[in-house]
Amino acid sequence: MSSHPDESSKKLGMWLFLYTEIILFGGLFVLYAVYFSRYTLDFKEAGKELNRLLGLLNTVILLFSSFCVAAAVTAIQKKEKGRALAGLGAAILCGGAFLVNKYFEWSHKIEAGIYPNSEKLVAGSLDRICFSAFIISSPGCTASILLSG
Amino acid sequence: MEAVPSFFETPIPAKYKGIRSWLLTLDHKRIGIMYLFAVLFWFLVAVLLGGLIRLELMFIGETFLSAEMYNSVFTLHGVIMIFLFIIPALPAIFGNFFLPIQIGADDVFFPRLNLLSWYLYMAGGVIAIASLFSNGFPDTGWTFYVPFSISTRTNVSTAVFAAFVLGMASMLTGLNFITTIHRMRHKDMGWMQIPLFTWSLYATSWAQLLATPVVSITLVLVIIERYFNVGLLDPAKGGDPILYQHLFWMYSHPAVYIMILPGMGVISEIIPVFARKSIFRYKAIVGSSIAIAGSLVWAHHMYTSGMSNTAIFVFPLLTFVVAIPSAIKVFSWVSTLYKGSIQMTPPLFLSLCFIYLFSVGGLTGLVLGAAGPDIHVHDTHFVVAHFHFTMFGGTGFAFFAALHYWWPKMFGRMYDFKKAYIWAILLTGGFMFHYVPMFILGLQGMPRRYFDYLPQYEKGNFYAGFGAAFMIIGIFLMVGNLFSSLRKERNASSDPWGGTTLEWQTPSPPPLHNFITEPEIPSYPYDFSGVVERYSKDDKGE
Repeated sequence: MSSHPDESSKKLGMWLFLYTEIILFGGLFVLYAVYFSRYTLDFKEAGKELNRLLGLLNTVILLFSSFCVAAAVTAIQKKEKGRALAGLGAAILCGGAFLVNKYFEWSHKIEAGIYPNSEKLVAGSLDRICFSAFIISSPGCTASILLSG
Repeated sequence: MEAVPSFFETPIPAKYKGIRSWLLTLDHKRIGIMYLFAVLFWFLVAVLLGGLIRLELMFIGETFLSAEMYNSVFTLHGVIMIFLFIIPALPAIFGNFFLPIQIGADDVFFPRLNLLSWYLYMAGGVIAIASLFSNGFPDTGWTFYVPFSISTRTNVSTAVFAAFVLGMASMLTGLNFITTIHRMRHKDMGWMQIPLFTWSLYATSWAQLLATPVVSITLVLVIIERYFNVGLLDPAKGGDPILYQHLFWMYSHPAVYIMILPGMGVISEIIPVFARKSIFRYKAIVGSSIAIAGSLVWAHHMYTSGMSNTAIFVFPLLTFVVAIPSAIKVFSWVSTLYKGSIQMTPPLFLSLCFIYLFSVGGLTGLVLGAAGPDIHVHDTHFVVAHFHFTMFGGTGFAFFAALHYWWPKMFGRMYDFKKAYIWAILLTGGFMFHYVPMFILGLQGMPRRYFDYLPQYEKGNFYAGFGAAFMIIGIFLMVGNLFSSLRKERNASSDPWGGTTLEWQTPSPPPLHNFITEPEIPSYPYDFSGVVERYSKDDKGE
């Protein structure tokens, strides 16, 4: 079989794949948008209970790990094995850090009584339950994708 | 030309022999044939399950299936037919085999990804079987509607996960096809020189990429709900079950285009070849294939679920607009036949059956697409008859037509025409006897998905059972007729029908790299002047 050294085709394929990933989470965004418009004030209130520092840290970790993987790919193209391995290693560390961070964030939430079917939520209003469902299940999906990756 | 060894004799990678030369192959043609056997297996299983449903319904009361068993059987029938047969059948078998050949390429762009898709497909099938042996197969129907799919005790999670994996396989195939069509087309082939089957696969692939991820995440939500009970779709916790239906149909309505478009592409290939006449309005067919209005009609499945008056106005309107591209195609096929010099063959016969059955399915779809009449026939046998006319009379018959059209190219052997006609007539006749009574039963008010019914529906159900029997016998004998040709010597010429697209420029079966010499790209893919000249010379004995 003839080899296909065609870089732009590989990029096209990769972009199409990324596109499907965006749409995948698009389903969750649709749900979020609907419930946000339905329970706007409560979503805002409930958002204040979350720890912003940990959330920010997570975003930075995820962005940095993307950078590491991208740098590793470039290093592979330049045939720099050491740097590529370093990039991938850093990305794996970032993945670990993400999970550790999530552990703290979630244990904080669980202590505060925010987890599916907790007594506090079941006793509280419907919209709070809905909000907590989001903050648990969306990163939950990310974490499971990360673990399976 | 015939002396070159075919892809059956030359495995790739060359070091593998025997079974490994298939299971580890990177050849798009071998992968297509592996799909053929897997898909046919599932299809025949689901046909027999459908037969069981019909047998149960032939007589009033419990005949031989309990109510729970009946629910599982129709769910299994639906899940297999949708996810393991109709969605992958045409793109994965014939798309894999013929898309690269039709654009003058030697393979798809990502051969390894192609093989991975096949394994994901097989894994999806195995997971679906696995769900049978733990807590019973789900009894939700293939739509997995909440709240029932969350509360039922049967093993919905595994079945839903199977659908998720199969969706992954379908997305990767779509991704592969789009890249291949963009980047590997022969340098002389412009966009308006691409054969219509490949065009239809291009449009299908985009629909796969656009829509499949939405259903994937929706199915993941069902699993999350089942295990963690978070309440996103549970009204007792502030969620909304109707949102599930919206998300589900946002995928599953475009999915009917994933199912039907490649079928339409097949018919657009077959009709001009046997009419010896250029396809009527090539560009209109291309344009109507890539019309994306089909993504905007999902809520017409939900008129009885409750929605705003604006939505009740907009969705029927859009639904009626979406009927136009299909009507354009039917019109083009019939106009292509008009004043053509028609040569009757089994693929053409099945294509004509397709046009008739699909038109009935399409027109009854308008009854359902209009919100008023839909309230009356929603969730009745009318709906079941409608989508079997479009999906089975449409895609199913296009699949049979494609099998008969490309069989000599894939295996190098011609089947028995006479038997093919007899079984096709038995199949089509049985089809009508089976589904027409269901339209009437539906209008009379018989609900779908019930294992029993009131006495006034007895007669229609009894007669429909005979139609189903003829149909099932016809299917098995037709497939048997094709396979019995494999015992013969290879006898098919490179162009047994007089086709003009590139697959007819290469030997049957094709060699490893598809073409022996550089293919000649016709300036227009459906110019039959050369074919007509060649055949008239043959007739005069020159």
